[in-house]
Amino acid sequence: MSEEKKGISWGGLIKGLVATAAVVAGAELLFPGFIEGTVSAAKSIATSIKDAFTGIDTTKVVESDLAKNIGWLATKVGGIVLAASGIKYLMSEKQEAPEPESFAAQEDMKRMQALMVARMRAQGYQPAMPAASQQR
Amino acid sequence: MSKNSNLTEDDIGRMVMLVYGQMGNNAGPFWCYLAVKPSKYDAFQAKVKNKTFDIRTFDSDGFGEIIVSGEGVTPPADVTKKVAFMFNVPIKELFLNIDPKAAVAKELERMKRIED
Repeated sequence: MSEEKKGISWGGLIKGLVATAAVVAGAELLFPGFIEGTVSAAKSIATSIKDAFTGIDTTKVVESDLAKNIGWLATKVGGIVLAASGIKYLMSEKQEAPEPESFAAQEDMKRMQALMVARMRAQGYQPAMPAASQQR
Repeated sequence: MSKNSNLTEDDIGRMVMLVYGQMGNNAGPFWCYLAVKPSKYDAFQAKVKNKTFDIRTFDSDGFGEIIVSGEGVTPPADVTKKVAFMFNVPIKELFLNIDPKAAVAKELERMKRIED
């Protein structure tokens, strides 16, 4: 259930993590995620799941690993915290941003990535790269 | 009484975490975005700190859900963007120095006050 060709697995662990014990160097909070809206939780959960799957071409969902795995994730945790719009977007096969990224958005992304690396370094994280023979 | 009065912190949210480190057998670095149940946040942090955290049993141990994992030092920007989009969080609000437990407690109180 993964996009192994990219070394990325949505909804699960990549093969390298499943196969061997991993040394976890650190864990950083990305953000606390909450159910969206101001309606009752029960209504939000039901509405989120319903909205996420409404209008989705299930044939395409099956064809796409990413969409399939996001679908699995949506059924497991999605109703609780994932935004219905986000699930729908990710399952829709339209993986490009809905609108062209603004300069400000690009700058936000650069700042976020710099912050991410700074946090990792603050934990003393100096990752060793795989041996040359194992690099793909 | 509101239907929301019985809500728990795990009903309303997750702590979205970035975990990173080295895979065994010199397989290189990895990263992983996890959705940690608020009730398990302290136990999760303790396991990471004590180097007893096994990412392979994260799901089965009931800590929460694995969102996405991958090879490399840091997640690609587009993956982070998708995770943020899934949770409806603006990019500039990632990695903020906030107290997540306080944020969850505040949100839980707010949800409980909402009448049907």
